[in-house]
Amino acid sequence: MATSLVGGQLFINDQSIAIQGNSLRMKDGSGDKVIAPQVAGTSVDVIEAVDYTTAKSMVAFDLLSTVENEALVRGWKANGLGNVIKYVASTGVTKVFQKMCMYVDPEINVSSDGVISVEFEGSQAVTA
Amino acid sequence: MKEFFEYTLKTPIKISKDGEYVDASDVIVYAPRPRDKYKVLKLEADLNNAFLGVFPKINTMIDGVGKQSDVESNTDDQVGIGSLIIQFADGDAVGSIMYNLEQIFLAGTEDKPTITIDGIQMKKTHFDDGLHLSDLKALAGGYADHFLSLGL
Repeated sequence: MATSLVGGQLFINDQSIAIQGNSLRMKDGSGDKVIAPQVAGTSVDVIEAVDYTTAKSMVAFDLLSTVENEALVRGWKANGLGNVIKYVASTGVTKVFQKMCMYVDPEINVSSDGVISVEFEGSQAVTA
Repeated sequence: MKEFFEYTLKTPIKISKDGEYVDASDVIVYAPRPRDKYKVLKLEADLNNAFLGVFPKINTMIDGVGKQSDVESNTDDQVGIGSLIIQFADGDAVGSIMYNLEQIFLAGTEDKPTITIDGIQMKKTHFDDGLHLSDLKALAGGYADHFLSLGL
């Protein structure tokens, strides 16, 4: 039986964050792989390499548009690279994303069911 | 009254600081702020109630030690009354004391801290997931001994 990732908890700078359900997305930042063929006559071989220019982690999620969440977002943006994001899965496994920067100025949807979409990028994730 | 006291955690905890997830152990506990006075009074009342239960036990222990040997007192080993209450109070009293203390600690903000670790106001997750029991008891005892009026 498999265990769903849904149900984990998100902490930003050691503060528990309530996010909109099913909105969390993340990348560990191990980098994309490049597969390149090399040819010798009719013989074709492939090599595998990591494109380290893509080796950055990403965490994205949506928050409901509230005054408190808007203040949180402003604080994270002001921190620059000074944010730490911790994701504790329902199984207890913890991923830590360090030096996380909210690089995009988030759009704040002011409506009764509006959301603030937040996206961070930073160092490769480590499992704590 | 002192403005703060310092304590080094026996078991360091992980905190987020300047974008990194680091071990931290240097704690500073600040004197009660006026805005927390009702929480502090409740804590003090709980401790003094617990003291009434603990007092006979401590007396018995002191009598027992006095009869068994005439060991000279070592001032370095002296423990405050607050620490003794935390150590020997019954379970319900300790639960209430720790809950009230946590409320006081968590009421702090970055600009008006109540307890900091490596310069950062401690948050709920630090208490829930990191702080070791022996360190929590030591902090509670220290808070009582430094900032509260206990005993007869």
